[in-house]
Amino acid sequence: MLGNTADSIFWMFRYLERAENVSRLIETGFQLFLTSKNNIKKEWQSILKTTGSENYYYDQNQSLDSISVIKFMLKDPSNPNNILTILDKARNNAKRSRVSLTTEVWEATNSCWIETSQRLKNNIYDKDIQNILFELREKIALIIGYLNNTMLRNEILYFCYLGTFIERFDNTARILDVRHFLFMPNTMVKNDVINETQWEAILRSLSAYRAYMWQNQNELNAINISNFLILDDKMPRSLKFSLDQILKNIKLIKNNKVKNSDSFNLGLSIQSKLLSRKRNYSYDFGLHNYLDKLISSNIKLGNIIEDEFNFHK
Amino acid sequence: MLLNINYKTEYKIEGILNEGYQRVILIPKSSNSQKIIEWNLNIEGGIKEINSKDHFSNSVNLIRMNDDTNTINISVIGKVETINCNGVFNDYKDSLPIWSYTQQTKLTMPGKELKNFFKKVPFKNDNLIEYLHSLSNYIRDKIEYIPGTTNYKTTAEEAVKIRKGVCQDHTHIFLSLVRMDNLPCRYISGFFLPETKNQDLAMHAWAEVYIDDLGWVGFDISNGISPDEKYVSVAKGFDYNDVVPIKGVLKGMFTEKHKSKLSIKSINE
Amino acid sequence: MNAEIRNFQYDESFNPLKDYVCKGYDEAINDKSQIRITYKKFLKWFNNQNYSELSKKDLDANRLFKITGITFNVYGDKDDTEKLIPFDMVPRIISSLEWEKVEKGVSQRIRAINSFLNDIYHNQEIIKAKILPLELIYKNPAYLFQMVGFRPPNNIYNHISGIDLIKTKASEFYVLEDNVRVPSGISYMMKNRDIMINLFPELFAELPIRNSKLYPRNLSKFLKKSSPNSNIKSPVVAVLTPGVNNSAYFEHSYLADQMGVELVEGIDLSIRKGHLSMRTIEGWKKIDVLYRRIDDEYLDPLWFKEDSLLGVPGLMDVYRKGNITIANAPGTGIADDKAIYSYVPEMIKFYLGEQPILNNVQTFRCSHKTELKYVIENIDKLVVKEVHGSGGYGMLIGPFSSKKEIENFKRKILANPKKYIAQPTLALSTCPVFSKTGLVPRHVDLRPFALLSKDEVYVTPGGLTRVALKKGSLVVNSSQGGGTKDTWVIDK
Repeated sequence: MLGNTADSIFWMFRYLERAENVSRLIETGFQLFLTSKNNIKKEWQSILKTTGSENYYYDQNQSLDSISVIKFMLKDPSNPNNILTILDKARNNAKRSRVSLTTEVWEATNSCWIETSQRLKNNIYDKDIQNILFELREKIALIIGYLNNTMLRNEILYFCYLGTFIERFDNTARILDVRHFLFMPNTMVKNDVINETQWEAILRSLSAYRAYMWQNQNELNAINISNFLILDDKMPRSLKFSLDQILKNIKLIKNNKVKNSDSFNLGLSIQSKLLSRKRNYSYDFGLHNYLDKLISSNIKLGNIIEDEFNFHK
Repeated sequence: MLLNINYKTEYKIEGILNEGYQRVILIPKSSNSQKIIEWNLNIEGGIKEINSKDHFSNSVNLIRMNDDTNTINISVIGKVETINCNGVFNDYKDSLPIWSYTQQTKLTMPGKELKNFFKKVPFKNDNLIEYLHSLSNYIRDKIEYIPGTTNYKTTAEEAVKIRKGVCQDHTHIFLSLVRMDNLPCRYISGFFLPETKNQDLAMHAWAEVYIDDLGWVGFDISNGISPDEKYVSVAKGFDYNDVVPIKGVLKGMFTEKHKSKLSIKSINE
Repeated sequence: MNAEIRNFQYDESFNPLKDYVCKGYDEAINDKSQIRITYKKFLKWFNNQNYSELSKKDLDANRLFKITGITFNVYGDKDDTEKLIPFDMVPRIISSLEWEKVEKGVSQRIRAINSFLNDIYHNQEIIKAKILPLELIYKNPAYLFQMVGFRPPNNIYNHISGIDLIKTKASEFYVLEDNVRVPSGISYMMKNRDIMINLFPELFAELPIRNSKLYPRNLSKFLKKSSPNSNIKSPVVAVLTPGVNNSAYFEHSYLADQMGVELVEGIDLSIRKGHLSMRTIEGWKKIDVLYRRIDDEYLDPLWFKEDSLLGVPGLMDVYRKGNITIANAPGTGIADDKAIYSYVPEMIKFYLGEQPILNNVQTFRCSHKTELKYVIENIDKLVVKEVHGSGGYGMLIGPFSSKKEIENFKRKILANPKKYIAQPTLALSTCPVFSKTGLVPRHVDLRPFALLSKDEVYVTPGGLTRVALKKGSLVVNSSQGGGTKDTWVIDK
């Protein structure tokens, strides 16, 4: 497998995962905008911060009005992380690695790009927003479905997963970190300050609301929620789950010869940092510092993967 | 005459080099005018990937620079026995059709200046060899030898325009004029032992013209003589571009410096 | 976007041949307006179809093309969106008898061209025998001195060729051009077939249509056979593309995909241990056969265009050392030259000792004074082309050009006569095309693809049929508004 192809595949799936995450963030915000006007500005602020587009937004806009933010997130070219651009990048990487993808995966990706960008380029009305986002996620799910069911079990597929989970780890950690930072500016304030709506928003933006409720008998509780999103190895968007997948796929690519693998060893050290957090810690105990370290280690892991597998000359 | 030749070039790279290749044409061949007794090409900071022959039958080495290097040294050390063959070189066997040597190239392509220059040549060709010698002298008279006024990209047309140049420009102008007469001729790069001890020796260039029933006849335009036992020819081509001793393709963000040192000694001295 | 998908309205009075009026030779009907035997079964089936169903299928086809990503960029077009080449769902049908002639003719032609290339880069017997004038090689930029005296592996130059043919009457084929540099279009031929099978499976179940989808398997076989060293058990083949922004990128990735080989770019490649090697996740891996889809001058910046970023420095050294096969061989383009083209029948006689099976179109070389005079005087009846041009760019079709266009073109020719050749305007055959009101006749050509190895020739059954979708137009190039159709060779 070409290093260049590994590069394209890895990033194709990072961008697809990113598109899905951003779309879920927008949808969560939009839901809150519809249901509770309370704290909605902070909500948008947190979403812009999570996607790293806060500065770009204020270059263009003065106020945090919901529809402006949504359009900005969907397709504003001044926002490098708008859905349209992310999809463009995903599709371009898919095109570069066309030879490594099955026809099904390629065509699902291509039609996802064609149809979504066509929709986004037209005028967008409030009533369309949920539909657009829903269909986008459906199309991405189709790609992932074809990926799971048509691709050969070899290193090509493992790089797809590697990209997906590196991106997911980053995303989950950022959502937790930003929420924590914005809604709990003062560590003296106890967790009951974050109201249920906020917790629900976090869970919904990670597609984890139902799963959490099911596991925790309908009780929204800060410690349980943070444990669930950080340490639960059955929850497919948790940090623990994502990291397990990262390690597993590196191992598969390296054919189990991971003793001298820089990426695998860094993954192991991230794992021990991750597991150093005890389940009985209070929700906000050193959380920002902890997440911050994990996020930067994960970025480093991405870079080391690029080096170890000859993505570039 | 026995000549000892030692030629070193060093390239220094500052910055980021992603990949670098050097194409080296620095290996002479034995012929009726020279016998190669010893010849070594040494590379530091790179790997000799391939040695092949180009279409002129020149020996070409492809060097790939080491991934972690910032300096590459390319040197040749050799001993050559030279024979005076009265300016006629009959070594040459390449597969190129003889007519290919009558074509102008990028570097010899005549423009307005060269065509004018050609028109004003004040003699005719009753005896071809005499004519070519006069042509060579004429160029040497009109184009002043001043190093630094031209560079490796300068065309014959540009050199004629400023009436200045070095051996490379003299040779290109000569080739251009000879080709305007539709005669086959070629560019030779090599080494030359000067009469006076000169500190700043460099590789030399001269021309050869193919004359029926005789063969390739040499003309050193810059020195106004026919190459003799003080000359070692290294490579042949249509123009300088074909015989560039060291040609690099480097990728990255960097600046590059190079310096060369050449010494030629006659062992009989 | 809508412009490329033709919208059809349901039309009660639909009758497929109602408006079918053609002047010259037509593939589907004879001069008495009777349906030819090759089209009988198809048109009978067609007549029984529901028209609105067919219109829907036509839209389906275009949607399938778009999702497949089989798109191209038009050079010089400011709009950078990817475009579709229009697809027409009425097949071009050729009888097996007629096909036999094409197959033999193409095979003969590409063998003669390969012999010519071997000769012109070595002893040049054809010039010594005064059959081909030296002036056609002299100062011709497509003639690469870098290839003189060098024997490519197995003495094969044009591994892959695409021969452009037109038909003027029954079994009367003329060769328009020999594409032997980097012929393209094969992916359209294959995708057209995929889509036809998808839309009309019943036709393929019923009619004995030859399989045109074996091309990738054969290409892979022929490329492996051309490996530089017969000791290599399983030679590694790779396809070299200029990159994702190239107009034919889809085709490059499609062929690599179908052959199961890597698609590489310059940035993936390096010279390691004397071999061309590609950067894999496990380190460098040697390549034995390079199917390159970039032009000669970009292959190696040390030997050709110095600022080329598409190729690999040292590739030619590897090649001349005998460590790789490049397909097609550098320098093959000389046989692609439109002035050289007029000598191919002579080459067939000279090298093969055979009579040419396919006709050449009479060609006037503007470099000749008398021929130039003829061209200028008769330009309104001629097609004038650039000697090195392709893709329908820089050409003039006399009978279809305005006085102003002709005057402008005359000036261009006179300023640089060597750049041009001219040919009589031939009556390309017509073939039915699906339209709003029913079937209409449109001009078509045919590009069969052929593979050559030291002991074998393969010609795709059918090839790519290109169609000029504008009424009366003779230009079939996709860059000039042409489309494509599936080509059927039908056994009796």
